[in-house]
Amino acid sequence: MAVALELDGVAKTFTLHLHGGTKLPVLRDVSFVVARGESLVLTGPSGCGKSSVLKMIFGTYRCDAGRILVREADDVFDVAAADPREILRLRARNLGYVSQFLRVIPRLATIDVVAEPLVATGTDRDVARARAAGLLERLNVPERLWSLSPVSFSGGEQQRVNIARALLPERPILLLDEPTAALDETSRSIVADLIKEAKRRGAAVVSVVHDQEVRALIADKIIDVMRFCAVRS
Amino acid sequence: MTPLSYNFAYLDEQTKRMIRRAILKAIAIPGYQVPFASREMPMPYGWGTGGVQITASLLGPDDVLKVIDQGSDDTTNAVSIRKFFAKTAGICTTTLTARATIIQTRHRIPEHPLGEHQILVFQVPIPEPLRFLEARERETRRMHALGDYGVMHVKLYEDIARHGHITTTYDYPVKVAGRYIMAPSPTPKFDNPKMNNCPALQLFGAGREKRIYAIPPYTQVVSLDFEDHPFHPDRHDGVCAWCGADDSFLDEMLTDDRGGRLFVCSDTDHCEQRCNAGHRGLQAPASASSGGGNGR
Amino acid sequence: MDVEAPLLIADRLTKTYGQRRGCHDVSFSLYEGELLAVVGESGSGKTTLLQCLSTQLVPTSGRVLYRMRDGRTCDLAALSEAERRFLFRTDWGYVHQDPALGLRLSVSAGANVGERLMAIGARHYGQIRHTAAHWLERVEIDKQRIDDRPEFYSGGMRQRLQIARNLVTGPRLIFMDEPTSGLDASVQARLLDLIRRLVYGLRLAAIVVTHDLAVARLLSQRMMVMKDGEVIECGLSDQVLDDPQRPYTQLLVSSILTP
Repeated sequence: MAVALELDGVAKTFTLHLHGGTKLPVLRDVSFVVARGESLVLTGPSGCGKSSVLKMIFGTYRCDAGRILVREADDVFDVAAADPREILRLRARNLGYVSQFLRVIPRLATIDVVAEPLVATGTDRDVARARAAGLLERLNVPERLWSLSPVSFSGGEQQRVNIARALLPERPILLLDEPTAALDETSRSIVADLIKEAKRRGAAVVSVVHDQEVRALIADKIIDVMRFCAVRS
Repeated sequence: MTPLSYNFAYLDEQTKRMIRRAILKAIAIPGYQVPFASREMPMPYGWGTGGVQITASLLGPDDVLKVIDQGSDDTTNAVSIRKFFAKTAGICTTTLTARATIIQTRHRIPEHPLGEHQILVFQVPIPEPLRFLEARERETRRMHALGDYGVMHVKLYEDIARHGHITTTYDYPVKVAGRYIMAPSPTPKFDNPKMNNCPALQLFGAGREKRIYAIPPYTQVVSLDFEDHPFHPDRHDGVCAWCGADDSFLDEMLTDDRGGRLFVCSDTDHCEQRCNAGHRGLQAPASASSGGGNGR
Repeated sequence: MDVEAPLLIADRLTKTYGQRRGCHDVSFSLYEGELLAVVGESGSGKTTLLQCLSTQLVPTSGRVLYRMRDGRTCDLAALSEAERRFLFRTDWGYVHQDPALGLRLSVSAGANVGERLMAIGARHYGQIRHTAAHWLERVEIDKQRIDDRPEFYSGGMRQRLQIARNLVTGPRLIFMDEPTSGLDASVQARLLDLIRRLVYGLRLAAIVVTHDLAVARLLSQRMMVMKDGEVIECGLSDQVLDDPQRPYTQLLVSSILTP
């Protein structure tokens, strides 16, 4: 089993300086591995830190302890210890991330929003757009929307654009935070299919999914994040 | 009342030395504007005080002086300056270009080719060619020092963009010895080629702005242009009505108030010499209008 | 991406005005193709820093190192003024907050864009004009307005013209001082898009000074937060904005008004 991602003793505490320095411990001792082609689903009540785990793997959240190891061929990189440029490199090559909120660039056309990560790593723009078109079509985003900015789209349409953007570059590790939350049943199963395809080509997938059906479709293993909860209730 | 007596050519010797030093420096750095301590002269700014100071510092008792204004020896300006030097230096004056050793000029270069024994002194109003685009003296000095002349071509570009051609017709900027960009004074662009590789020394004096600059003999002087809009020394397409010259710079003269006009050589000495040699234009020289030499 | 040498290195850069601190002990490296946002409120020292980096101010101590086109890294203080000016005209761009400072308002847009070319020796009117028209298009100014003077342009158009003027010589590094402040929201959005597209499309390195966190989030991959001349926090933009560590950063982030 080729391990793609390993978390080892990761911890996260927020310090709220605006509230007199109150410390808010969220996670402690988070440890798990995800193999290539394997899909891990994180579960647990809201606020227990599931999204935080994804954000720490992506490098958005800093972690207070532990290591986050990303394996790429023979090299291993620790996201927790990486400097900003290394993290950017890791993101460009290894980490795809679908977040709950689409950071929308106001005037970029949908097709370009989706194609951008590919273009940024050197793919010819027209090739990238063609592939983006294919993926958008699969996700049932109608062609008439491709030249418009996603700003005015519905939540479900935005979510599908977001997914397309993250999945198009076929990165080895995918982090999906509620990828199907705003979607109808048809779209949910299409997304599940896409995740399965990603797994088949060797991607390691870590997701936060509430929907039982989708979970059933994609999860190879499930971890309850409450296990790592730092707050004793 | 005792008559006033002046030092030779009005200026005191120390001042002349100071000006000569500035002239030497200017000759050493062709096209570079050398600041000098311009003196109060008995004529207001704008009437050629810069040129007068240069002439005053150079004159010797054996010099022969010619003074022209827009090519003519007999305008008020030219006459006054000639008389000024006749009075303060007692030197010979002339209207014949060929005879003069020093020629002080406002806004024209004589048609007759100049020789190595002659000095041409220009009266300059604004010595700084970049002034219209950059008002700050500090900046223009920097631009000259660093050869930062992009803005000059911006002006030419603007002309072409707005009018289809470069519209500067006088005081046309030139590059001297491949280094400094210089304002040749408001001489018509027609005269620019005469400055190139000229055997005579050319000196430029701006009294109000307190600058002297120079083009040493046989120096390269190139008018600025674009490859696809090359410089052309335009002249009015016509013939002098008096002497018939078709290659001299022409002045337009109104003869009546019904639109009657004549085109005649701007350089009066040139015209006179041609007439004396037998050349004739379509009309004989009119006795009432300006023409003929005087002031000898 | 292979390991490459940084394009610009600030090494303990400090500028003091007597007792007052402009900026203090600022160090960072900037690589080709990177956009770094320097964020702070007024008086934070961000503009002082920008001016020290772009050699418009002489630092009190510290160095700025720049990797020239021929590969060697130079201390900018060691360059002659002529070399610095040349660098400024060819390798760098500087976009002023007020476009009037970075433009010649009394000459046409085409002349504004073409000036740098003419300054480095371009002498063919037709080609200069053609290049200028091309760049006007790239900053989304109608080519037909090439002969109009920026006196008659709106603020957003002037700013875009300023950008074109800076990009025409293919610089590798652009400094921007609050490029969108003072503009209407929709104009800002459009300009930010353009900046983003151009900077990433041309693989430029850029340092953008702004007080607006949204601008930083949109444009930059990395950011630095400054206060009273000090760098309070730095890191990836999403790190600093989503997981601010220092008290001041948390204050700044929490102060964003969201409509």
